[in-house]
Amino acid sequence: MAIAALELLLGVAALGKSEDAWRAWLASLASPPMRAINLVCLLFSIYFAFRFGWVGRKIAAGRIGPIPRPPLPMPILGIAPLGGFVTLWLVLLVILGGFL
Amino acid sequence: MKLIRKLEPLWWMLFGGGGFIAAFFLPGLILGVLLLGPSDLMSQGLAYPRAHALAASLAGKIFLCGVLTLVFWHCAHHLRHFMLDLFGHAAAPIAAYGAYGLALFATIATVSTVLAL
Repeated sequence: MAIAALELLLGVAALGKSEDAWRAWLASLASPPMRAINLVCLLFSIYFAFRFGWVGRKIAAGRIGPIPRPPLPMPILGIAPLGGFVTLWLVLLVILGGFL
Repeated sequence: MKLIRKLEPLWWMLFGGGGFIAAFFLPGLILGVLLLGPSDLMSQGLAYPRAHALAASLAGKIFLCGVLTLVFWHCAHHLRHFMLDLFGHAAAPIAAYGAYGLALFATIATVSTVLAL
């Protein structure tokens, strides 16, 4: 995740320099080694997000003081954040792609 | 180490915030920018004028600073505890100052880069 954040920071730096620097940075992402690294970053971040949502349901259900447990079964409590994450990623893709 | 221990709630807060932010936004950003960025699918959306306008807007700057810096702090906290697992508590000061020093450096780099847009 740190590698992905670092790459994005380099992209922001290229964006701040010039149009040529931005294009060169985008072109550098198309090389096979960079694609492989970014694919690993994506898979790891998806794994992290899903694990985060799946573990988080137990904290939400059981740990918040005197508030009673939500009247929902545990799998639903897990699916809700995961659905939220995926929806947010799709919204981000739509914004980044200029489809909005 | 006294200062690091005193600030422990802050490190955990940054770690938790970074985890949230990473789960919310990072896969979308990696897929949309790093993987699909060079493709034709994103050629319009990530064209320089649009990408610059998005990133240089106030909302864009807050978003970029928030996402990138919190992810760095999250990873730094992981790195600190990973080093403790590897080398034991003898390495605690180096692990803490090293990891959080890197995160601080990354935060300064991120904020200065984003503000320069």
